[in-house]
Amino acid sequence: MRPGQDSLPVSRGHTSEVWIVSGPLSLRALVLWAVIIFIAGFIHGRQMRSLTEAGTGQASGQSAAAVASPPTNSNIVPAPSTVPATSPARVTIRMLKFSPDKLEVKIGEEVEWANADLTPHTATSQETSELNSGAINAGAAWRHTFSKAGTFLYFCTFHPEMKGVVVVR
Amino acid sequence: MTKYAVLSFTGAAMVAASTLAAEEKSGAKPTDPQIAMIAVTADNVDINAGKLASEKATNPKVKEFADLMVRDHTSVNEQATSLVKKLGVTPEESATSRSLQSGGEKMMAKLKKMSGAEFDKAYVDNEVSYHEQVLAAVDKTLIPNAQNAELKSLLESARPIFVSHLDHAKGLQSSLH
Repeated sequence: MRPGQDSLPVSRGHTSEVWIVSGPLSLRALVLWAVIIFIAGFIHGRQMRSLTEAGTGQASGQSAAAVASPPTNSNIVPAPSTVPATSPARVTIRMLKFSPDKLEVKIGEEVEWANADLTPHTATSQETSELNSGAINAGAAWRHTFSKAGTFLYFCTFHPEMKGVVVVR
Repeated sequence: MTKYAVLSFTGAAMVAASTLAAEEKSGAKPTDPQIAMIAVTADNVDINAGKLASEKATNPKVKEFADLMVRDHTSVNEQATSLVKKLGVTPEESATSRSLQSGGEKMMAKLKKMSGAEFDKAYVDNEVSYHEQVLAAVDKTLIPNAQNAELKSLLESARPIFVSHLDHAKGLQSSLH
């Protein structure tokens, strides 16, 4: 501190010092500097966070694929758990079983019954007329879109021991 | 037909099917081409009986069962034939497949002479014994000896179908007696 000056030193890097004049202006100067330092720190923090995310692929709310690409909105892809609109939920029929035997879908969602078994099967509602696939031959599939909420129990009319349920919410 | 005749008929059907078990006991191990032929022949025997029962059965549940046998075994045969072609395997006759074939023909001849409730009962009795024997052969002979993975997988996939058919036939049998 220079003699005769009632000032506080404020560090600005390693090479110099800034002296704030004491007196009536010191409080305003202090506030001004505090604001400047706060803004500078905020900008620096954002830059560092961006660099960290780009390097590690840990951006919150984005998949790894989105991070690996240039950070533009057009490259954001759905999370892996999101089912694309064009892919229906699927029930596979194999060895006289519906798998999964319980499926939950949303109103308007399409469900596909894929017969990977050796014989024809059906997906037929037990208590309503919601599902009425007719024979789904071996290697074939049948799709149905659920337009209303409910719990739909179904079975195979050829092999009544085969049962499943679709819950539509 | 007398009770003795019905028992005799059922026994004849069982003889054909039990050839599979007999071969297993003799220690003879079928090859993949022989297994393919046994599977296709076993299916065909049941398809033929099912077609006859579909025409002659008077009990609606028996007719429904017969239609199921025709539908399921025809489909299994289509898958088996498709696999055999894919693998380039030529199905090969064996004592077992020949016995199944001749036993099936004898069974058909006897069934054709029956009618009404007697036919229904005889057909269902035969289906129970036939599926029991075929299932035992699948478990003890065919699956263990199948060398090709896809052939083995086909037999394993067919097994639950045979179990379902057997349960269905037993249910019918108890309702008819």
